[in-house]
Amino acid sequence: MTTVGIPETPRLESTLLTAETKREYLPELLAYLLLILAFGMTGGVVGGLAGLVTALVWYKVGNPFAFAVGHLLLIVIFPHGIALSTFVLVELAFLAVLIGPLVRARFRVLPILNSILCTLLLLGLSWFIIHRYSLWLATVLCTGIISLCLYTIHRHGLITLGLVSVESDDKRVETTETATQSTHE
Amino acid sequence: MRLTHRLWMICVLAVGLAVLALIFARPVLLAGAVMISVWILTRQYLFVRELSKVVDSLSVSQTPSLTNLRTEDSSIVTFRATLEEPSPLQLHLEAGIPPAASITQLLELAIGPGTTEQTQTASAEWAVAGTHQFREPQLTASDGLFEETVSMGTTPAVTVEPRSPRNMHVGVGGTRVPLVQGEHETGRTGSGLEPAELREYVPGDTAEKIDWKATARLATPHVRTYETETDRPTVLVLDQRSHLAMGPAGETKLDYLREAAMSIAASTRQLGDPLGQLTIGDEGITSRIRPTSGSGTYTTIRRQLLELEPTLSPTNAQTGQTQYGPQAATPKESSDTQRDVHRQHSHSRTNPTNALEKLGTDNSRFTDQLKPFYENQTVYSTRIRNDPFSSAVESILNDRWGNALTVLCTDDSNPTELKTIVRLLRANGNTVLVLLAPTILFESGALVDAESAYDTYLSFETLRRNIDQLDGVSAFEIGPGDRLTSVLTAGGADK
Repeated sequence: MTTVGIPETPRLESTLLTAETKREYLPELLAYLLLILAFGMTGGVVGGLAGLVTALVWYKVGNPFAFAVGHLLLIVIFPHGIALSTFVLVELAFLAVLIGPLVRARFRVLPILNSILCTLLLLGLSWFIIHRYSLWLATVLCTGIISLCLYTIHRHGLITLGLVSVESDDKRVETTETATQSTHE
Repeated sequence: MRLTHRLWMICVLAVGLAVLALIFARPVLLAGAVMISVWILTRQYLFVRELSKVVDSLSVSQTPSLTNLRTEDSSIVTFRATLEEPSPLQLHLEAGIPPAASITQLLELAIGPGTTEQTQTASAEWAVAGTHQFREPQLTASDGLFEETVSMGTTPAVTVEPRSPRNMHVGVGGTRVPLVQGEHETGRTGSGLEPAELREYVPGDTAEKIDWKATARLATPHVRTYETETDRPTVLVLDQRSHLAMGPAGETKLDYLREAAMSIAASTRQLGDPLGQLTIGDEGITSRIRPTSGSGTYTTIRRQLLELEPTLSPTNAQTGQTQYGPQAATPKESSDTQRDVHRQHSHSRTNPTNALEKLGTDNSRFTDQLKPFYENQTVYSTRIRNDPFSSAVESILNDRWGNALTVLCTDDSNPTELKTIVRLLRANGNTVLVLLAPTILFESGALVDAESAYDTYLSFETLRRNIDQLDGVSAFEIGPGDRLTSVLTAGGADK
């Protein structure tokens, strides 16, 4: 799928959050500094280096890859499992990285609040289910919740932009109901 | 909402982390997947918010310079998009040009970050007649991760009329007169359905004519008579020779004459009269339909009239140009038709030359009476043989329908020939309606010299009057009313 008129920049980010000057990257730089400190505090020198690598990945290809590499490196740093306090500290640093670019957004308050809420909710729920039930269930549940959220925003967008009418959906429901009734009769 | 390939890559990354978390039983990787998912959710939300704002603040217009035009005309279409304030989204707009229009270049606008207004123009040619509604312009917005297409903007309509005679004038000396006729009365009584009168019986009336109820009521024998019902055959004689092609496309002499002929055909159909047709090209008859009143005949004649095109003159045909027009006769058809005409002519009419030879040098009173008549006929006969138009017209004289109306549609390019043909038609007892297209109203640049144009029109009017004065002949001018008004206005101003 082609993207209309968007230059393919190596760092992956929405044009809505692209900084025009280097100074505008300050929130992200601070967030990554925090991440390096968190990694260093919990993992020592190796941890610090892992944090630095994560920051470099962000610089080269963007946040999503930095999240992936950072979490993979956590397994390397903590091969026998990670303590809850360490995990919380590192994830808070990642949350700061997540929020960093949103500071530049035109509509920033709600996305920042949503990001914090969603992250805490999903991570908390995952932790709870993993400890009470299983990792499988946690994964399935998280995938389901995220898919539902994505679809909800998608439908909200369609309705807001007038691409689907609520009336036509209502009629479709009515038609289905009528068809069901006639089948029963 | 569509995902770009870059976003698909991120989704795969998130799913991959979740799968790895399951495979290696490491919940930390699931946390990574959650982080990426929240990152996607936030971008999606921002995109929807920004796009809604753009849609609210963007005004898109597609404005054709002309909304009423004729086929093959061109108009300039201006495509404009204005944003109230710049947007970080990449916006691409595509105009909703109707399929009937062919444009010189694609009407597309790209509004990047920092831009608030874009305009593009293109020339559109309209080849198809009808009302063409513009589709809503398509706005495609993207932030590099998501894409969405929204229809928005004005949808004007363009009315394209076919090139055909406009402001048609049918009249005499610049005054309009109605062309189609009403019902024709015979003025005779006989068998029929419409009661004419109730009169007293007179010797000679047959017994079945006696109205017994009236006889009983009035005490003396009475007879009821009825209006005789007749059909008046109408024959359309259309000149489709090359000089009838004069005039702008769709508004030639032939186009105006065709319109008039079609209205007469429609009137004839309404009255239920038999209708026939004879079309004559540069080489002779191109089609001939004998008068009948079947609905199929009307349909055929109407279709042929619509398809009628001027033929090529023989000189053009000899230079290698093919004869055009659906009704243009092929050489075989033409020769067949001419042979048919000749056969009818030799069987039903006395050859004046042979008659003169038979009369010889006899000085009897009978010969003295007949000789001038046949001598006059010989002159006609010679002229007719040399002129395919005249010989074609003469061929229909052999068909005797009685009280027929012959509608001759031609122009004033050959007044002598025209007079001869009208006399020929009239000689057979037909009522003749002549529709003449004045050349002066169709020549390009003829109205530049207004005085000369008026003089030419006066010459035409004299010809028309001469023909109109003939017994049983009515002659009308037919052409574009606006040009005729210009000529008459110029003539009035000079005086």
